[in-house]
Amino acid sequence: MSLGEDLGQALGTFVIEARELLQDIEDGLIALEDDPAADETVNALFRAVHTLKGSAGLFGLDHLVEFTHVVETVLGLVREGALGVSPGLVSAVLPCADHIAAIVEGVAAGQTQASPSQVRAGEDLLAGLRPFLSADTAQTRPAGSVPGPPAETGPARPDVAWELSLRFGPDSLRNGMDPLAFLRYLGTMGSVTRVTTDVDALPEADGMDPETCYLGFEVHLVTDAPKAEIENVFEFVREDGDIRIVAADDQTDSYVQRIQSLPESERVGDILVRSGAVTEAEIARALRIQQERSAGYAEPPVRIGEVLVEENIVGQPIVEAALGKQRGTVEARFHDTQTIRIDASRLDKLIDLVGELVVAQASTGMRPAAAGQGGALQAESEVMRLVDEVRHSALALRMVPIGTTLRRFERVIRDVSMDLGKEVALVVTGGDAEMDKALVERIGDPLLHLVRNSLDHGIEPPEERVRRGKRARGTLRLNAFHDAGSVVIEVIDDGRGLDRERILAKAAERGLVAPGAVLSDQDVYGLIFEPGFSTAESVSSISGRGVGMDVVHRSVTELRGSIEIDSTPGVGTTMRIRLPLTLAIIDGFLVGVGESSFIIPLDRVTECVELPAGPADRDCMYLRGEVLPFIRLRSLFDIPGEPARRQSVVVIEQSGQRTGLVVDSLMGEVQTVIKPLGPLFSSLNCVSGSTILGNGEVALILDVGPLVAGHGERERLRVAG
Amino acid sequence: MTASPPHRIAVDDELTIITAAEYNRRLAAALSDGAPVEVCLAGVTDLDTAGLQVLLHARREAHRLGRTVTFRDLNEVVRDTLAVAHLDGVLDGTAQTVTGRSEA
Repeated sequence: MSLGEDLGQALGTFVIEARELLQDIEDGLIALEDDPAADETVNALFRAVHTLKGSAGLFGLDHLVEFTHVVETVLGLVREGALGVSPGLVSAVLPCADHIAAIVEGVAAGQTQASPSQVRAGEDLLAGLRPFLSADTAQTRPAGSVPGPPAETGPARPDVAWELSLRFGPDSLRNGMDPLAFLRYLGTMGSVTRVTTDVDALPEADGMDPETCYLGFEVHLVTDAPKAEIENVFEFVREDGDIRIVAADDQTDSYVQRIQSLPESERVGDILVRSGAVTEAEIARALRIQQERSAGYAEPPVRIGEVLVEENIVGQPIVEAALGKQRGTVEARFHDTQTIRIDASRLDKLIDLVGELVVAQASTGMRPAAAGQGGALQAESEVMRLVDEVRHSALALRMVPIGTTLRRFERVIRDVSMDLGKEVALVVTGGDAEMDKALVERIGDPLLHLVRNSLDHGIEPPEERVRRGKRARGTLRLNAFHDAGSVVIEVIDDGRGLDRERILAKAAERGLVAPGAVLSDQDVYGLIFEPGFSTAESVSSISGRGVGMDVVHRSVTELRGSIEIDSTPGVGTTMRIRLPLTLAIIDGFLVGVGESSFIIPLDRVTECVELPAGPADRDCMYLRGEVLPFIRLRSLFDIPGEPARRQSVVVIEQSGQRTGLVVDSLMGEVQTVIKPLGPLFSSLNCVSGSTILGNGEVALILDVGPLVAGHGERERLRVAG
Repeated sequence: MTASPPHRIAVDDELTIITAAEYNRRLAAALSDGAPVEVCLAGVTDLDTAGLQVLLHARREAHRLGRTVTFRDLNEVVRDTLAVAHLDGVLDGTAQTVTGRSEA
């Protein structure tokens, strides 16, 4: 059966959630390795695996269910205390999580059956788990049989009876949702003591469409699973159908008692949710109904409790008990603090529009005539302030904390250090520093290279560390913070530091520097980013092939960022990546040469001075007693026409080196939306993009790094030629 | 064809959403002329809600039209599925009622 479109969408949601769960599982396993006694971690881990298995079951992904079931069983043993946490256990389960991830990605690619290679890989992994399962043979159940009870934090929950009224949407069969499969799954959560099949909706005679779902089910379920978990089972059919889960009548007393033992709260909903009688989703539904009913009427809205009772979500006595606990007579207020998922392209569109707005607004600022009258001036400054605010909040929409990306390295560090026989602890600080989502995604790989490099070349093996009087266990610190309009990510190790002499020797051998050349520390360290440069004597699987660091440098430069290295021999190395907060908008400095306009990133501009009179072919000047080399943009870009009578020099700083750019006119600061150049111009290396100015003209954005570096090269050629 | 010889319908593959329309048509056709209908379920390889609906529908239609329909040779697959919905015995005559609250 091919996947219907609706199912495809539901599957998409499943894949997204499965990925999140897998990340939780991985984090949990690694946390468990550090603190094997953490019950909370074990519970969370078990819950994540259990939920994953449950959702997979709903989609009939049997291969995923079977495999996950065994992992769940192992974790179940850990949860029950029948199996202790050991590094061996974590090492056996981690690859299983990878395997599950691979299956999930396969599902995302439309593969609903296990491929032969996946089956083989799965069998090998399960064989690795077998020793742990035999710890308690009574607990090992074949795949597909009744799994352990779903986990809940704290002490085991008592069994509770629920009445489920299930009316599936008419299209559910066509969408691949088989109500019987749900009934079967409920059987795994607890015991289904009664099912009544409702055939009333079956039409008479020819009126029946065999592909429409007519059957309804009334189910009496006894389980220790909390209500939210039962509700989750129906996550993908709730929208189209009518799914109600109510505590069985004989449970009312126990809920009333539980509510009475709860602290007071301002909101009835909170009390009900906390007691377990109502789930968040049900409250949300009741709130919607409440809003619909009160819309358009001036009279006070229906009480939420009434809605809940009318909708048969919860019984009257429970609501009354909750109302008794409501603090004073405060009117119930509900805040919607939920997050929503937004298609990233819509955000991009918004940011693009805001960018255009910024440009348009900048253009009004360029017309001094408009600023003539006081009123207009005031209005304009107000608009300017608002546009700036809109720009900030639009950019903030794309901002995500970098912590998730940084914490992902736990796994890398664990695996790599194990391979290398080193002991390394990861410390993440500043994980809540936010940056553009696109940047976070694209900085992952370069960071990975840096981390691997530090593990491989930086941190010494334990024996060597002990010999040098360091702790056997090395520390790798990932630190992120905001600094003057950019975000800085540091990879700090306490290893042996960079060996200046060896780098120099290697560079000389490769012909990267002239023998005997005098270079600053920064320049020497920078050499490791040259293509093909590697000082590792042995090529390990981790690094040492000389690919990687130059790729890191290139990727970071592409993101308009830079890398600095600080290193002290024997103490450690800090690699510092500096990135702009966002890729979309920069503060620029607008200059004119003849008819053309150029934008220089403002953060590179240090000052502007007048070009002293002198011969036209001169390419340096004195600035406060120091020699300042400069580049004439007019000759660099072959711009026709006579230079202006008074030219200016914009002093820019790149990697600690100052250079001047000679221009005809200075036009001041502008905020610019970067439009990338088309593929036709991808070989240009002094221009990073273009932008449209307020007056409609196009200005090129100068890429300062290559411009300055390339100039030295050109000069050498010119002098030599 | 009129009275006595019963119509025999044997289900020899899956009885699911894929085949439901086909078997529904055959059952309706068989019920239309008054002869008793016998449905043999020995060869059912898979049964889902759509298939179950078709069987329950035929049973109710027969009742409404005053015809008889018997289901025989229920195999493991069928019994197993019926057990999930607690409908054991409903098809092979040891019946209990199939009802439920009707919902809007």
